[in-house]
Amino acid sequence: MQILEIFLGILTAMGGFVEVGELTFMLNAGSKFDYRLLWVVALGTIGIMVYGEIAGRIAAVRGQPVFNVVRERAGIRLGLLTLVSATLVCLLTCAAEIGGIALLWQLMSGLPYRLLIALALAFLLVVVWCLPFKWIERVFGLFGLFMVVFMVVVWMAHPDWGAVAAGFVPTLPEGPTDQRLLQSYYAVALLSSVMLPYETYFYASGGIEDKWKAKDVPMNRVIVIIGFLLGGALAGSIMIVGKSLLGPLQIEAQLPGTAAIVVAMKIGRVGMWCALTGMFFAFAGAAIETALSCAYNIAQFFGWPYGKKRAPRTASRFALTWIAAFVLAALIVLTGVDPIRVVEYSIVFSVVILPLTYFPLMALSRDREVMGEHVNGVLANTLGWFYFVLVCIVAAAAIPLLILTHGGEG
Amino acid sequence: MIRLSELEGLRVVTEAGDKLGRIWELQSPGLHRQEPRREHRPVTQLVVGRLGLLERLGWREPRAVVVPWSSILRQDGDAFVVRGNAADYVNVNR
Amino acid sequence: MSTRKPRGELDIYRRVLDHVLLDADGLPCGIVDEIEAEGGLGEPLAIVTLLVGPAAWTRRLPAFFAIVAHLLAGSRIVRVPWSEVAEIGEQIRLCSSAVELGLGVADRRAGRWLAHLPLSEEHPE
Repeated sequence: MQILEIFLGILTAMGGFVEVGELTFMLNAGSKFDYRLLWVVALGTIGIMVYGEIAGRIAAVRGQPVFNVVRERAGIRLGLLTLVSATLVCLLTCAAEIGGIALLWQLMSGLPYRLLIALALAFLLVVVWCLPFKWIERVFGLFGLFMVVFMVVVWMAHPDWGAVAAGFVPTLPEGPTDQRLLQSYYAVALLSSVMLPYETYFYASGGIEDKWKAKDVPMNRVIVIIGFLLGGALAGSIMIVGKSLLGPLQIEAQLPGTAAIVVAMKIGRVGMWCALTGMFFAFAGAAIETALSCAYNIAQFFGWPYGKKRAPRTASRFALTWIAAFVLAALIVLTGVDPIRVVEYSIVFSVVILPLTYFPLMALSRDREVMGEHVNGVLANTLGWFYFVLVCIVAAAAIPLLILTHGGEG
Repeated sequence: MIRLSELEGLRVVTEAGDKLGRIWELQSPGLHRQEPRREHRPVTQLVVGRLGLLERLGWREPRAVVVPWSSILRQDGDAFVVRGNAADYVNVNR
Repeated sequence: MSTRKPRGELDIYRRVLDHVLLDADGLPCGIVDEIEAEGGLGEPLAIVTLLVGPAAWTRRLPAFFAIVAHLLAGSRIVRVPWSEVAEIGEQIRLCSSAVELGLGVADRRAGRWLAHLPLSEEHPE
């Protein structure tokens, strides 16, 4: 039974890894910079493994999700700053995902975009209201695995594997200043898109929902390492597709539909429908995770009863919060703002708030008084602090790069 | 009535003029798990150090000192003045 | 920097303040937003009440943010006597139910509104 649980957990982690921002940035990074930023994907994947494992371990050992830890350790002032920032970023990301769903449906149906946003909102509200937590996790995670079609496209495209391998070696940006700035901006955006904070919040809250205990720490480790590794491989394959198929045509993927058309170029109609299905479930899954993350974070910070495993009436403020998150996110895209622009801002601001989230997690996970035998080992401590310093540097560079590159336009 | 969060961060100086640091913890005698019910819980000592927020986050300063509540003489602005001098106060890790 | 060995003292800020409260039924019913103590300088100091609610935590913010938070979150406060504390662990367990202590009022009020929607009483698992 536990093996099945681990297997499904891995597949869910993999299928839920990619969302609209990651898809867009991966394709465009491949198109613009060949394989030169693959090392950033690898770096970010290890980073999210490290902090996913830490957050999951804290949830299992202490029964505490991220925002309980933030409140306890950082106190009310810094904690509230973290909460407000995280909520805004989650809302922006949710808005981007809802916009992405509407764009996909528009590609398939030709119906008006704003109508499709409203339909997407209704769909998400009904799904989250009616389905149990486990079903939501599994359905959207497992059907998100249709994104594996991008890995099939990579295999069929026969890329120069030597050049792909070379892409995993870190290199400094080259060329004129504006190109170097643009490449740096993409590096920051890619790192952020792989290490989006809501993944940590939702993963730990999911562990609480599943009532993880200390005995589940090894399972947490296996799911995070293998699941996120496979998810990172999927993300990297999207970049390779961008290089192989969009780069020669000098196409910039402004819409998620471009990704589906790219797949169709290699595999035909079946491939296109697989891509569209995978993208729909990936975007919808991310929308659900971000809206629920808003609710989890606020409920955990203020000590409200929470959880999808409770009847809505018994966790009523939690339920109203995720409903409000979906509605606000939909209203953001209903204003007509370009969802891809919303994606960009959500990704850049996500990395800015990462240090606020990660520091309390590191503070708690290294505290032997609290974690006992499950305290950070040498590897977790080393990697945890390395990534904390890295995200601080990246957070400081993110907004200046956004401005200097005119939002990645160059 | 005192709201205990208002004590966090207050400076502590001795009447001899030694700066001990800032209050980053309050302590109450007795263990915290499965204690019998009590009407109130005495707060008997302050932990005073220089690390600031890092203390709260979980780092412990080796040179932090324990100041008994009873040794506070008065409050001058945002500082507590305590009896004696720095040598009178015990390191928290002893 | 060292890790302090656990001894026979309770750290109030690290173990009590900003920790989740669980009622007698194990239901989360708030956070310790403030701690009130009797006594003062020259007298013994003793915790008598845990304060829960926006009126408790908004006062801990800088002035401008306190005003904004007060406008958004309200001015409710619940006083939980220290005698209601049964156990202090990762969460603080209380002796009575949330209803008896006056905690979780907003959830119960919101729950009555949600009760009009289908499946609101359903336990999803």
